[in-house]
Amino acid sequence: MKTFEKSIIKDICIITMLLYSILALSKMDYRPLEVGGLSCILIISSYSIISKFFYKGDKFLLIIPLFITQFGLIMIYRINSALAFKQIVWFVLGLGIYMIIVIFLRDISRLEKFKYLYAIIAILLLSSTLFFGKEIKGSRNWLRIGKYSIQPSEIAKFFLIFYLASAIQDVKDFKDAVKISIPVFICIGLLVVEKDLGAGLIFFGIFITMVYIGTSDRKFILASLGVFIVGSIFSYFKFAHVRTRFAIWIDPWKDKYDKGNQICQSLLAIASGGLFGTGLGLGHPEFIPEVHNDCIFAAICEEFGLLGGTALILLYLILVYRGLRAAINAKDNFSSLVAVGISSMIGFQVFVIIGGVIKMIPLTGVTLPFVSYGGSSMILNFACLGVLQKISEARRTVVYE
Amino acid sequence: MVKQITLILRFVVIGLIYVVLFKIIKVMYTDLKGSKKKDRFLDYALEVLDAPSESGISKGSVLTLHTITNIGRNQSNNIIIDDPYVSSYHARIFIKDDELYIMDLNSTNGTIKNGDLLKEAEELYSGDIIEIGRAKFKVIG
Amino acid sequence: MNKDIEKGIKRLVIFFSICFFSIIGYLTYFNIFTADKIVTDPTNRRLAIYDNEYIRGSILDRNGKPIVTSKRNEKGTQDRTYTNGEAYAHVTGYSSYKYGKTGVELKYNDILQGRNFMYNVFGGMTKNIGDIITKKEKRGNDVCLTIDKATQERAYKAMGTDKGGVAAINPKTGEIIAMVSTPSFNPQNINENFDSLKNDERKPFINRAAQGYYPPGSVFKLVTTASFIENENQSLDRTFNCNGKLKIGNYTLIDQNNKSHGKINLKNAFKYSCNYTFGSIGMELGYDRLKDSAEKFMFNKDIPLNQDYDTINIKSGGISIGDKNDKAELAQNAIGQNKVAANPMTMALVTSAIANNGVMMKPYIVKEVKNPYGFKISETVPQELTESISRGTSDIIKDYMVETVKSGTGTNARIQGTTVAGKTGSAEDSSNNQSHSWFVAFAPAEDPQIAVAVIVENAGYGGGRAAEVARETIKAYLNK
Repeated sequence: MKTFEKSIIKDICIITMLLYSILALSKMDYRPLEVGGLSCILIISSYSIISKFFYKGDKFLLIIPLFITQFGLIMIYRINSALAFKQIVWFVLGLGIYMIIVIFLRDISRLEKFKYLYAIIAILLLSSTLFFGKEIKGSRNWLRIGKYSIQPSEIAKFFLIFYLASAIQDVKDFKDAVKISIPVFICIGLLVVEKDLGAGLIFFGIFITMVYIGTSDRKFILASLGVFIVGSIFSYFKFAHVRTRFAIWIDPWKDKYDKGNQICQSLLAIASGGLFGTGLGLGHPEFIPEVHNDCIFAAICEEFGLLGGTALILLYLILVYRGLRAAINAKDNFSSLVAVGISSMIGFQVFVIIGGVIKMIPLTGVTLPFVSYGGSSMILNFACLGVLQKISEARRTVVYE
Repeated sequence: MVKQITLILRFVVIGLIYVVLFKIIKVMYTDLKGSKKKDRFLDYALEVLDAPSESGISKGSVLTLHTITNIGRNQSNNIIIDDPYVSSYHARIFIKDDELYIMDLNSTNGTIKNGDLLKEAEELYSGDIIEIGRAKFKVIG
Repeated sequence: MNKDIEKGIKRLVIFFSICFFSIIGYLTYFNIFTADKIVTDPTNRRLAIYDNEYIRGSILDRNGKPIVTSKRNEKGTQDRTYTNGEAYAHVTGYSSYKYGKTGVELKYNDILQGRNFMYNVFGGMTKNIGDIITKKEKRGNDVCLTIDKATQERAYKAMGTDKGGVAAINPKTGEIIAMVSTPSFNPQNINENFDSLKNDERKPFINRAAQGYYPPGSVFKLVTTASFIENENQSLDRTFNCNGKLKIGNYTLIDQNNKSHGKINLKNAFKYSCNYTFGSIGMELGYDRLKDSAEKFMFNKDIPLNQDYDTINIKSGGISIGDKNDKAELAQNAIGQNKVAANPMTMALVTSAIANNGVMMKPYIVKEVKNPYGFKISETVPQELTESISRGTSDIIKDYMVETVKSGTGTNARIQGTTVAGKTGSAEDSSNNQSHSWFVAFAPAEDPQIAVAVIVENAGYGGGRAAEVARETIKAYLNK
């Protein structure tokens, strides 16, 4: 088992170095090699720490995200090397927070008692942008602190998961279910008003899965779906930005110079890639607006081809599977629900953004976990991983019935 | 020249990515398959280290374990220890998710694992010492 | 509770697997079926970059004289030069990364770019590794048109500021010698002027020569005459009694200026374009026979081009009728009004069939393609399209057309030292303006080299402006 993991880590380092060597060759510059070396050191050291001191947990919950992160780092470096250096800082900070959680968080079930606090924090975070927020790229979902912009919706997700995990266990009947979903729907409403539709969709996805897993009752699913459909129709007619998104999805080419530009360009990038891609550095992902953020998957498809894109999707699928496996083996229901929440958050987020970029569903601006540029998302995702790791470590003491 | 190298290397890179994917999936597959195998072929057993002569089990013998193994004084148990210090249904060793566990069934004198009194179900590993009444076992496998 | 959670989570694993695999499935579908269709979209700036690696090939006239050329500039990009661009706009089309491509620039894009493969699933642009090694500037292929530079430019000049179109065809091969549509635009400045051109109410983008849909007026009498000769087994000396007004029920068909031609035979009726006679002929023939003859001249039918790529889109002429038994409608159809429509290209084809002993050749505009080293890659071989009329009929009509120019309505098209055969037409414009001036001709009558059809919108009688333009066009081609 361990030898396998080591050979996988070795392979990941080889791929990383290979890709940075290609960049170094094409730019005739040694700096990409430094970045590659640094990435490899980070990969190896974080894996070593986990496998040496916390061997009980599921190491794949770290190995796979480390691999996925390399895709993003290389793409960002290739598009804009200055951004990549920042992203590496976020990567290191993310790993740091991951380690802190793994080392210092003894017992997750102790976090169960603060349930209303989580809800309040989530709502405060989301409403903060309404008052202090800044509208960037059409969405009022950024908060500016000094030099940095943070996206409170990313952090709110984390608290939402903890809130739901602790609150759902009290659900006895339908009335309870309605009661606990009130804060969730407040959050989603805030997101729709702030034009952050993607995050709203993900909040809803997390909510519906956690309620389903926590109560095992299909009634709640149907009820929530009903609310969702009514809400979508309402917001379609109420908010112009919802209608615009929808119209762009139906036919982006109609408005290809303006509003549909982003999706058209990302489709063109994917189309130019073909099966094997153009090769790293030989495509033109810089033509896609927001390529380092929302549309990074299109850039990966262009330069790594359909095969590279598929590999990335499969890696995410395995990650989600490992997370859910940890949920099954978790030692109590609270941990199990938290693990379900985190895994489904990653799953939904990947589905919403990749599906959006390839025009399978309407494009809404959310980040691709571990790949898109952005500090808030990187740090939050690694924090979530830390929690997952911890859950996978403390296995359930089984009572035989 | 650089262009050609990049063009060729893209195949290498994609190939390697799939090698890693294949390895990961293989590990998980053997993981899943292995766990099923263990369910069918039990390879854990208890070696009797010490037991009073009148208890009905002899020192040095090896007792096989089943998916559920009940231990106690009563004749319906899988392992019967005829010892006044052993309750009629004393303890249970069972396998769940390909792991071996032991739990005490609220016996009067309790079950001791590696010198500690059992409170809840605990996982058993090869080499663990279990004491039930005056009998002493070692987990082998 | 625990068991339920486990079951739920297992379902969740299946749910996410379905989600992710559907993404993979959609992505694969997109790459196989949609990708090829969208990569050529003008918003794809990659095209410009890939294209810039090759110097775009030239577009040449039939004698190898350059019409459109490309040159590398100091910025590393390319400049495409359209010499006398307005004259060729509807032939060459334009090439813009912002607004796309049209005409030869569009249809022969891959050839001009020197592309051997288009995009495919196996790795985007298939690049020739040998090409990357060699440092030499790569060029695309050259496209030689059948257009004659002198004729095209003279015809464009002759049109002046009038609206209309000219089409000239080599009747023996089907080569399009000239295709002019006015008002025109300069493909050179398309990026700056696109919006104003698009909104220009004179519609400069429309190719009037091949896409127009005009009443042909009296030039349609070629078809009516052919139908009469082929269908009615009568002496051609039969006379008609023209009083200038053909009364059909409540409708009266009048001749130009209400002129009455008196006793007149077919030849003279043709020569003077007598509406009375042709109206009567139409009524005698009946709709079906007239339509059959018109369809032999490719009315109501798709006209295929003699090439792999349909470079120009020819709108076929049309003939139909509201009520088959309505004599008034029939009479009008016979003189090219009512529900008959054509454009210079289709009329030039009709004329070319008469010039070529009744055989219509498939039209084409690209003569050959040459690689950058000057070797012919492909050459278009002339092909017959259809046999419109018998040789005997064509000889008779030819004779009538020669007479028309010699001493009939078409004297304006006479050329010293060359026998020109022609027919005039003045088609009533529905909007009550002056009539459209039509003229079709071929020359020399003994050995036809060029067949021309001209329309000048709202310019009055066919013997006027249109005949002038036709004359200039023929003169330019025959070096007179």
